[in-house]
Amino acid sequence: MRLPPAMLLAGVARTLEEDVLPAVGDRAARGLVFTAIEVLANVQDLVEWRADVRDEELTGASSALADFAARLEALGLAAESARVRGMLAAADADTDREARGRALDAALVEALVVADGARDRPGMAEALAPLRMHLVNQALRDVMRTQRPLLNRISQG
Amino acid sequence: MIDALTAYFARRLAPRTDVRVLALTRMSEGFSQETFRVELAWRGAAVEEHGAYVLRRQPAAGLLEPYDTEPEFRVLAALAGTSVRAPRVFWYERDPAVLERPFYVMEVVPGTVPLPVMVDGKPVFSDDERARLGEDFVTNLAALHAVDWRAAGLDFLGVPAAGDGAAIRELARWEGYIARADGPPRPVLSEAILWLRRALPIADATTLVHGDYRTGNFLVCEGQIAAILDWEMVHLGDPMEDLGWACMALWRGESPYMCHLLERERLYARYEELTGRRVDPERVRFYEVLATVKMAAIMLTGLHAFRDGRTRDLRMALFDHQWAYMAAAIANARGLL
Repeated sequence: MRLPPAMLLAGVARTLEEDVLPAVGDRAARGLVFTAIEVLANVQDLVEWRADVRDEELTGASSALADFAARLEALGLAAESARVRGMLAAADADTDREARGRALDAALVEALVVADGARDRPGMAEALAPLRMHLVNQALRDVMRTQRPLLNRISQG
Repeated sequence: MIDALTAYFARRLAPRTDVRVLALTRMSEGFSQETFRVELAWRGAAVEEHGAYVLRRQPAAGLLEPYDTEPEFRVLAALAGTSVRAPRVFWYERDPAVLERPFYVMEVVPGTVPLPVMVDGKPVFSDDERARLGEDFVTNLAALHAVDWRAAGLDFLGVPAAGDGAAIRELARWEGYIARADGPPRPVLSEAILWLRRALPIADATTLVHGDYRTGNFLVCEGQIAAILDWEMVHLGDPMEDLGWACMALWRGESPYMCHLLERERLYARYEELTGRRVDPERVRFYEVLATVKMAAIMLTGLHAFRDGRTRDLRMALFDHQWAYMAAAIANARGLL
């Protein structure tokens, strides 16, 4: 779901070279900027997002979808349940972690569409609970792992 | 760039002579359009004179692509005859020979732009500032929504159909941005969109809508709002939309005040007093959820431009990580948190 680390690091290097360097007059500081650019060039193709973090996200999505599919079946929505289970099985069969993540997110979106289509069915609000819980948990996990934005510093320099 | 600008201002400022650009400074505020301050000197009747302008140039790619800055210029020109505090605009330039992309020139309004971010847990405004600016904030919004847009010739912005036409149009507009951003599926965003499609409100009026009315988009000078800025999302629509945008949690963080200025109840009550229009909390809620979808669409559009290499502005890449806050804001607006 995220930009590849190599793309981000290449962007940082380009910013340093094209936007920061022209504004730096001090020779020693310029040397350090070039040092940073070389460090980035050396690591950019060697790093990837932490697998354990991504696996935790994927497990959460997979469980939520399985739970939702079971609840759909209990509501008598066998065809809808089979649709969600089918997407889940296809996603979980993907051995590429990023592709599996995208497939699980697509399955979550499809599950929400299914729920919306049957929104007037008694018990649907309760059936949606695992999906909603997953969305909330995922959002909170991501916030906990993210730096507070430096909007003031970015805007005011 | 300096030579082109010198020639441009020499034409614009004629019959003044010997026009020179003394300084051109890119302003760091704002993530979307390119804003510059231009310092000039010229020969007047007898002596050398100095002046300054703000220049807003259409970016090649970014948050609100594809760009067209002409509508906002025309709106700002029309607002000159109203009580809305907006910068005066002078000229619109389409010729790419001047600065490669269209731009317009407006006055320099003195003041500072407070940002809607608490630093080290401190409030953005003191109680005194909050009282004065809060009143100004809602007064300007009421003035904006009172503009007779037909008489001002602003129907070129596109008049939404009566009833739920404004809500349908805005939701479609931002769903279009999300589709064009062509990113991976985002379940929390889809959940909000599905809800919005079922909750389309009926508008009881069509007004001019700023589209980005919040702290961070006005200049403060001597304790007053001197000018409302950033009109690039201006359109005709439901006046509740500006209230919903101003009430979005992202603009207040942990503050109990909308945009760090007013309690929600106070904002609604004062708006009702000034406009004579009833605030419908359900309509505001729709637009508050739409505000998070719109903000998400803007972030995803910027991210798309970076991913495709159409911009090298690293701030666009930052949205990849800031998505965490966006997803939480969407979940919060939807009442999932």
